[in-house]
Amino acid sequence: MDARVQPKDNLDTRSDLDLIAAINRGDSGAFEVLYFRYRDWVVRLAYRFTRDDHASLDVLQETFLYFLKKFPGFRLTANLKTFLYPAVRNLSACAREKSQRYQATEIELGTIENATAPESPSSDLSDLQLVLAALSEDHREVLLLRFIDGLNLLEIAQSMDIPLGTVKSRLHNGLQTLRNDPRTKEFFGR
Amino acid sequence: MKTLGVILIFRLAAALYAEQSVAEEGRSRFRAVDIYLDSKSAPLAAYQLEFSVTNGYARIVGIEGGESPTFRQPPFYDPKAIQHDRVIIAAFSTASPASLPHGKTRVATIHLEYADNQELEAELKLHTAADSEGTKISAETAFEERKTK
Amino acid sequence: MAQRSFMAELSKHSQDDNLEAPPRLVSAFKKLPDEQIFVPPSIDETVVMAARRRLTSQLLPRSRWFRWRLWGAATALIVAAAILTRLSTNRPAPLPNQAAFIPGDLNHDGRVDILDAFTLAKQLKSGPQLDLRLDINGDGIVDERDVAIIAARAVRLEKGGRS
Repeated sequence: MDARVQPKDNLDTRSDLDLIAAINRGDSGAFEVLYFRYRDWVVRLAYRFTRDDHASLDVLQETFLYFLKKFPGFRLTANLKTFLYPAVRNLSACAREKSQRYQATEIELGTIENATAPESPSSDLSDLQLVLAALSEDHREVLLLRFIDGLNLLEIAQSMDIPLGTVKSRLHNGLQTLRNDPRTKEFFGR
Repeated sequence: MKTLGVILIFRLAAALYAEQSVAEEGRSRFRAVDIYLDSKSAPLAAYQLEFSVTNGYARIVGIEGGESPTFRQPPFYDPKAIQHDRVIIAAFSTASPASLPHGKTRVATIHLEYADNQELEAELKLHTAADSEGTKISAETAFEERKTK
Repeated sequence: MAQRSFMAELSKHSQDDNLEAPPRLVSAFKKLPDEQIFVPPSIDETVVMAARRRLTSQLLPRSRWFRWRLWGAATALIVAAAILTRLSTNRPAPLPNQAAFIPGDLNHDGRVDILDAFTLAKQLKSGPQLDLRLDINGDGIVDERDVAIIAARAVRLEKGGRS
């Protein structure tokens, strides 16, 4: 029944670099494309930090308004995620402190209760989530940035503002924990 | 002696009954109000209704679906309606026309909590109803308090 | 010394090898439940409007001559709009399907009610929907979640349940 349509940004095939150049020339449409291209990633990342729907929406808005203020004159030197990541992290820290509630509608939550409950995740996924939850935030974040957000090691280092060696060390230790944990060691089995 | 015993028992029973009556005074009651739609000969595929208590003595505590398989699931409603006196309920079905109910159908039941010994005064308003094509149809609404056994 | 640097190099490569995850683990990561955060259109609008305000204003040069030209153009536009408004007073009202699209009003009757959710549900049943205006929650997919959003709006109580 789902119909995967092209999101607004995917109708525009310009690279991030081209879009940034256009925004620097005053093209607000190009900013809109970038916004929708990264919106869901930013809000999910904000949720990872805040664990709060409303706070993550605040962070989403603040992140892009902060990004907007960099124009004209913004220079993209790496993956845009490496620029956005620290902004989201810092704004999430502020949001957690403020713990301000966004007046979102609860209706969506109320009526979703009427819908069929989603299938429970397989036991593999549940075990992985449990083991990840037990990791320190630093180790977990490196794993998620690497294997969900698809950043390479250098990009992770730039995003988290830590040395490349530290990224490697945290990644190695995180994977070791998964390898050694009885609940997730089967992922490493032959 | 036997007579005294019987009298004592009766007096005890009477006292207990009296206590129970006192305890029941001021208690809240729960009633179920069945909501009906009569679409006559047209198959009912979608409806939206507004139910409100008009004398302020009752509040909504629950909403459940209706009798027909089509509308057995609870309808859509705003959770803010719970513990208040007004609700909009709505539901639809994309089932084939043959599976849709027609005539008088119980589409939902609204559960109310209200002060004892108060009559229910409420209002039911039809916002819209439609057949399987999405064409608006007229329908008569009714609500009935479910009698307790 | 040579052996030490060789060992260091070997250790580095070993460590780098240990930074790769097996395909099954990577697949499990990708399947982790994605937090579906509903982003209200109001947030999108706030950001987009802010971008339009900021970026458009960057284009305006500050020369006085340009400003005069701008005022002149604005005045001309206002006068033209006033004339057009007077001329158009006798024009018939726009047909319903020419009116502005109300998000969620799929049957174009001027309001959002359960029939709009029903309309979308029927359309989804007939096949994939590609019209972006039907993507009510802006997640890029037209599906039953959009139906639920419309239904939620239909039954929303403005006064919090109080009659």
